[in-house]
Amino acid sequence: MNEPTFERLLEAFVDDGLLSVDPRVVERALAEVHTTPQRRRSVAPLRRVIMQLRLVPVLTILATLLALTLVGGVALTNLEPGPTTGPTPSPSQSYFPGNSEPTPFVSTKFRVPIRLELPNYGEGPIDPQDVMLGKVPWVIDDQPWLLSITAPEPDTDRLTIMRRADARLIGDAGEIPWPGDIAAWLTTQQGVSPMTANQGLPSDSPLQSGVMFGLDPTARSVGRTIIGTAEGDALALSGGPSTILVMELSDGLSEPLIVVISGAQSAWDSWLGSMNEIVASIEGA
Amino acid sequence: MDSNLVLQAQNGDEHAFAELAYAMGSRLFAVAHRILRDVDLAEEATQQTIVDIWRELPTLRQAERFESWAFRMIVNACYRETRRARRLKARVHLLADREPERDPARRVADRDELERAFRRLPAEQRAVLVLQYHLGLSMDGIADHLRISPGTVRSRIHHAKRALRAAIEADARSVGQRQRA
Repeated sequence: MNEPTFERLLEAFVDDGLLSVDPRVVERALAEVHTTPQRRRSVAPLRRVIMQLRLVPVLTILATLLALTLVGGVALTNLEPGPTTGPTPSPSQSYFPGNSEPTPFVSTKFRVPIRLELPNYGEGPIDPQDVMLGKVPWVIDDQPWLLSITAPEPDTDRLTIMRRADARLIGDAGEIPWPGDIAAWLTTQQGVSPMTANQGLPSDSPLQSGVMFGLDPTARSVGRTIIGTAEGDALALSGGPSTILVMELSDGLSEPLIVVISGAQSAWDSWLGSMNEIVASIEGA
Repeated sequence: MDSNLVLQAQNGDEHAFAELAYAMGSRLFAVAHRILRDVDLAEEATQQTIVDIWRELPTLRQAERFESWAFRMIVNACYRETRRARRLKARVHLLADREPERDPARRVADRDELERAFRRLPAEQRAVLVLQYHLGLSMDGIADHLRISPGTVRSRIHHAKRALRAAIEADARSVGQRQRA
């Protein structure tokens, strides 16, 4: 039997049968229905309203958006930079603005221990709790501490600094292992203007041989001042009332980066002085 | 099917439900009769399905899907009737199907063989054939009605047809042998 014949036979066979039910069957069923309670839904009224108002597609879309938002939020949270993979710097004593005490030696990935003496330009004690990343009150509130610093020289690498969510920039310098093994120290002063003048190291600076400082005037116009070097060794970023300086030291042994945020011209001057000491420390190591 | 009628019945309106029952009764019965191949069993399945529909109607989320939902319920009732009939058959030792008639017309013989083979099919396979050939549903439509995957539908139809065809061809061979003898 060929396929079409079989199909015709099968169709005729399956379709062959009674088409009408004996009305008494329905009557018997309805008699039973009369004494049979309907199953109630636990949320019947709400669901019925939703059904009657044809809200299912709308609610489905809303639920989808909510789910996507939640998933996206979780994903973004997970994108927060984690702790550095490098060696953890040894804990140090707290540094506090307005305090000219030098920090202890901080051990980072750098093979050269770095000693920082941060400038004293604070006008008063600042609660260290306010100096946590993300809640630094005197820095632009709406500017997240997620810095993307691009070297002005085309040949230099793009440097992106991402904060660790719980990283503290002041107060415990030794516990600031930024991703990328950047050790960061932050000093700030409220209400001061960004740097406006070119800066350079003294001619006798130990940095002179390897690093040349200079402000990028184009960057300043957008509220950021980038200091770059011909070799891309040093970068600085100024934003709002504070300045973030990133310095890469070419000491021949490692490539440490130091981040300092300051706001005042005097702070900048002090910082430069401090850098001399840093380099001196490095060279003396 | 009138969705308003369904909504009224969902809210407990027995008059509205009676209208639904009379409108759907014969269609449900027709499906049941084709699956079960037995009037009594089909009537039993239809009656029980109407009661089940009444009881479960408030759980139906989309009134416009009432028909599909009702067909699924009659198919499920047929499954239950099949199992019940099988148990009954085992207990009372019903007589085996009658021997094939020596009918010179092949079509009649084929139909008889189809009837026997069809009864031997699992109810799930019978149901998909009925929905396909009697209700004219597509594979996807059957899958939607029965809430099974289209792949399962295809598989059931394939196996059902193969079994039916094999039964017809086996019968044809035996008739040929008898005629030669």
